[in-house]
Amino acid sequence: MFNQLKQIQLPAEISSLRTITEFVHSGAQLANFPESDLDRLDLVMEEVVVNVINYAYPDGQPGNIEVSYAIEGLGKLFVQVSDAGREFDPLAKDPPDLRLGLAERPIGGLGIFLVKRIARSISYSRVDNRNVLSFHLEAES
Amino acid sequence: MTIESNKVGKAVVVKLIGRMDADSNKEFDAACERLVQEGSVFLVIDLANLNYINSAGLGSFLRNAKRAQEKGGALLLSGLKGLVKEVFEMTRLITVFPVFDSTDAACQSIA
Repeated sequence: MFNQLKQIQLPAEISSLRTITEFVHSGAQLANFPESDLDRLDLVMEEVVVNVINYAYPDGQPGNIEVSYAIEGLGKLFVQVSDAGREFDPLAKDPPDLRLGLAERPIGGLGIFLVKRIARSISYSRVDNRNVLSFHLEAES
Repeated sequence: MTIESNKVGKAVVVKLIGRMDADSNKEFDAACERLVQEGSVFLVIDLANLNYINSAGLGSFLRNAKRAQEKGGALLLSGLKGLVKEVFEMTRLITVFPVFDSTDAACQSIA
């Protein structure tokens, strides 16, 4: 069973990113993640949060982002990120073609790919007009 | 992130120190753009002291490498380690850029 979910809600703005990563760090510390894993967690959170900031709400329309975590065990966190923006499944995008050389490689499109590689069991759902992305983070070492 | 650059023969070694996040990748873009405009088209990026990079940062590497290549130059990497190395490996960008163990080896390759 999960421990109780801890949750914060902030404006979907880049200025909220630091508070969100610090919030997830506090969960990682409680779950005994080694210090050396925190950058990997930051990367996942930054990519997911920036995706919400860029795509969830139309330009100029303010909105919120909600982040929750639960400690699942030693070195294990369950994380949920949700917003009330337009329906958008970031996992539905085609994966990038990693075989392309420099001239053909598009700039961009690697953020969610990295999230999928680092996070475990990532899933998207649309619940009560909210986009909900859920995933698990596990300590490496 | 701190950016230091030094001319070594035909190359300019650009040393990145700290974390490349949403803001600092723009500084890196601007620094590389200025160097290429000034005619320094061989850029050796020293990553030995870079601890963090996001996907926007990876985009900057691609953008600057394309820019250097269009001018007859190249963007070379040295000192990949830790999370930064892991991210370049996951995205197979490690096969897109010439990668060297040291800035000396990278500079010698274009001498």
